[in-house]
Amino acid sequence: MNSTVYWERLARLREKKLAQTQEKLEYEGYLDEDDYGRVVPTFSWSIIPNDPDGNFYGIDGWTENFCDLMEKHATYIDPDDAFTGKWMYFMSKMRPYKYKEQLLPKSLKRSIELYKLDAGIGFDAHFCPDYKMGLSLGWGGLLKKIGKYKAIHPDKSHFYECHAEVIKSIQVWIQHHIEALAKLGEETDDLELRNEYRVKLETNKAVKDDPPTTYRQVLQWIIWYHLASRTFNRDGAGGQLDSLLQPYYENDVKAGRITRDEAVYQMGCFLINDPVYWQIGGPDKDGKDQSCEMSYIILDAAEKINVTLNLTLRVHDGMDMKLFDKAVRLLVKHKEAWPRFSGDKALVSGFCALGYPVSLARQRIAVGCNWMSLPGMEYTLNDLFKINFAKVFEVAWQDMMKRCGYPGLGGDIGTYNPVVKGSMKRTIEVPSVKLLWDLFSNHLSQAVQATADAMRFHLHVQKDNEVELLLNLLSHGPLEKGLDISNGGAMYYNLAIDGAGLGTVADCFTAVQQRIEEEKRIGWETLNMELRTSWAGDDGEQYRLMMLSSKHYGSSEEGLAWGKKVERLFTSLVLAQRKGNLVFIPGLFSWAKSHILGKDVGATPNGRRYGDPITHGANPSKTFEGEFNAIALATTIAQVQPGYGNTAPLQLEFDPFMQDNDPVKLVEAVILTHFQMGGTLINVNILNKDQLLDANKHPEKYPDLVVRVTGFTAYFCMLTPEFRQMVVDRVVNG
Amino acid sequence: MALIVTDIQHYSIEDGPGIRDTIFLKGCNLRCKWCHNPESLDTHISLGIEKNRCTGCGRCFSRCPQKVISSNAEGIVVDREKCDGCGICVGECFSNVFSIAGRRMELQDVFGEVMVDRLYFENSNGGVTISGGEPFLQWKELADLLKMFHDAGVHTIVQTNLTMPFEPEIAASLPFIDLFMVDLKVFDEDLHRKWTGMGNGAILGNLEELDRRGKDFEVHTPVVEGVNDNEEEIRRIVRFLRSFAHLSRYKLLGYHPFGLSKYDKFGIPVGYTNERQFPSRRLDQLQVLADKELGI
Repeated sequence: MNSTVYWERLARLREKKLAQTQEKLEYEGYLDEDDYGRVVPTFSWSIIPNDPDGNFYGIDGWTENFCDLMEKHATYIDPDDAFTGKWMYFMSKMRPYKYKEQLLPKSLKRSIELYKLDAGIGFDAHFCPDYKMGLSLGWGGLLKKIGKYKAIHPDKSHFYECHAEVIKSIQVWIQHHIEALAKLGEETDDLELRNEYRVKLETNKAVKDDPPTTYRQVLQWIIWYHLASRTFNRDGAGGQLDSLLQPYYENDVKAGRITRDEAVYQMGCFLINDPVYWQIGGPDKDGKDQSCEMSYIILDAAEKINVTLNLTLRVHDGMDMKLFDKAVRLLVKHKEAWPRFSGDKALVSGFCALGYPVSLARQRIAVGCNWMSLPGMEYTLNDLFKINFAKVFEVAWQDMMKRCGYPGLGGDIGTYNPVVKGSMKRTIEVPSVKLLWDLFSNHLSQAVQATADAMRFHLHVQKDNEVELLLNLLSHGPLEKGLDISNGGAMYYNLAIDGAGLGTVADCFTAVQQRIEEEKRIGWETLNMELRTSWAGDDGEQYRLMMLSSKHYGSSEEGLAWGKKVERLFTSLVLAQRKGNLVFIPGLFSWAKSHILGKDVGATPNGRRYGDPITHGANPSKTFEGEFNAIALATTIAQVQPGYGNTAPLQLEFDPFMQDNDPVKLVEAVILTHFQMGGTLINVNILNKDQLLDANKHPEKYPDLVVRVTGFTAYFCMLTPEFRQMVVDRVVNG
Repeated sequence: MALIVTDIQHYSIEDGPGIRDTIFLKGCNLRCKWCHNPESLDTHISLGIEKNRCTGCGRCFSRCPQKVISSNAEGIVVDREKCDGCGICVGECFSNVFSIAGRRMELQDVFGEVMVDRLYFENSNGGVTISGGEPFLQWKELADLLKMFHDAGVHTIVQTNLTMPFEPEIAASLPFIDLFMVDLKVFDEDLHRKWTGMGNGAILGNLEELDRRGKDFEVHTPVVEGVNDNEEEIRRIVRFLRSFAHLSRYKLLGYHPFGLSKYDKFGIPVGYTNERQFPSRRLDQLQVLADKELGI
């Protein structure tokens, strides 16, 4: 077939995707998350509760609901698309509750409430399947595997039967498409179209039971798996895509079954189906660069469709510099925030520092917003448990004030309560930065303990709440042991605890040290009064400006020292939670919750007002004036990496366009240097400020503008006004 | 040994190849009427005032040791004649009304601040650019600083008006400079004097000397409406330059008015009040002409 036909088809698919996005916006409203590739349902379905509370729980509830949905699921066939299927229902989001909260121990509940912990108890997925396993076995092979281990563990037969039911229901879904394709083929007089339907039908027939053998079959198989897994519980983790596909592509080329352009076209259809997190490039387990022709095909296809994409290029010492150059060139050329980049050096050395071999560390790859995961081997709870450092600071501040006989912050934040200065008798202690740090350390320790306890609680209840019926299939262990991956089925339990608001807290400590202790411009009591009222006192705004104009994390040695001190403390506390086979790994990441987490925190000594956003991830605050640029940011964030294999991403928004310099080379230099300095992950937006400001006013004028909100990309117009403003603030104030 | 530094700009991508740090040295011997860095003209410390930021708290009045700050109906007033540039008001004002242009920095401190960015230079084929003011006014310290960067393997550029005597001022730094960026604003000597306060004989002579000594240099001409924005002027400059073996580039820069607000901020009389950016299309036409004359 003429390649022009392929590119025309991809162009039409791109337009359809934009239309589908608008349709979602119209029918379902804004979405502050990934695009996911989901479309508005074309059929009606609702959950089947198995509990008096109206929710469904446990292996039976999930099996029943999923199988029912699969059997009723509408087909999706597009004549321009090389593949079939789209997902429509967000099953896990349709549950009224994430888990039975009444099971949560009271003491743990109190801690979660005190520190406003972002505790993802009952949340699902957030780890990575091993697609190699799925491709080698196929659905039929997986059923056989289930049968084999059911015979070994007869006491767990129900566990196996449920997994088998799930697979069979997916096969029913595939069969429905086979039947629909046959019907469409019969109905059309267009010979070319009839042939297309025939090819799709044969592809689906081939993968319904048996392992896929061709490049096209492999892509269709992966699509079925991730559509099912998305439907089940959102999932979204991909894997190492280029080396996974390369052997199939090579075989097809040798057999004369495929041309390069055809491979690009099919890859374009595959990528537009769902912006799954795929990694390309990077070393194999022996350290050899695994980039290949398929790496280039993936980037070529991405350029053809240019939609929301979550491709990550792993940067390492022995990488193919042409591939790196191509990836950066595409990022700069299209300004659509893809691809992004991960840093092999720090990720590998960090994971090895936990005692793992380097060959294993190299297989731990970027498969989500900030997620690092060993495909099929690891249960991680990535991006689900976060500690808001700013909230912990607030608790520590209140504790200090209480100990020193001053009124606390709680209860009356936002309403001015004119307590007479000095009227409260100072009792035991005198406020100081040292005392504040000691209390912050103590409360952070308790917050980390509570977070780890919440994760342990999650591991305890999750098997009865939500079994990973899809991800268990492509993991090493659950079927072999007859145990859900949350319940001992995984090979490794490397659980992610992320800190958020590092910049806010570093700025708070820097500000009180400078203004109270060094310059003696304000006393603890006065500052406490101002914080209680969110700077509503007579001189509140002057005090606020004074604290705001203190030295900062990101632009002063003092600020950086506090940033490092908080990070080191957090890292040591998280690592100390390790016990038995449970390893806890620190990271710094707030996802897109900087403004949500900020709502839980009153005014803070860095001049921040009650409820304002906390700082984003490991990034410094951008609410102060002063020197700030791409390399200052990259250097700062490289210095606060926890360093144990999880990430503290560099969120970078910048405009590298200058007359005399190749912007690609400038971006490359920032990326390479950040990784040489110890960076782990870079999310970049190359944005035009004026365009973004206009898009914020008139989102409808920019239906195809894609931004990287944090780890994920999204259509700008799909974001709520609040999220849009967050992106604008980052760009404009930077 | 110390330098008077106006500012150090990190991640500078307009002052030479790659990612660079640009060190702006304070003090200039020319008085170009369109100068867009007027705060760098004097060698002494300059106080910048942005009245529109003032919240009227009055703290600066009482904290100023010289008692030179007051206010009237139009806002804050500073007696610049009596201000000694101590900078106390900068720290006292939390609305960032005040700023100081100029600080004395030990060479080692300048070197240390810049070398933090060394990896970025290496990965982008960038380096350090020393600009002004006129850097060679501080030629002894400049030579020592450049030697430090040169010995550390950092690519060096000096942006200069090349008016200082070649010996010993310029020659002292010669071994440590990888590229000169020279401003030649007007070819006619009298016109040059009219617009910059000084003739251009020394510049032309120093360019010849640079070429004779085999140093690579670029020449830049800021194109300013009503000053040198005509083909004949550009042609004359190019005809002078085209015989040089070590001229790596001739580049025209369009006048922009972004520096105008700084005049008010630093209390300097404006010499050229055009608020219109030089049209890019006209600039391109003149650059094409220049390139053609140079045989590019």
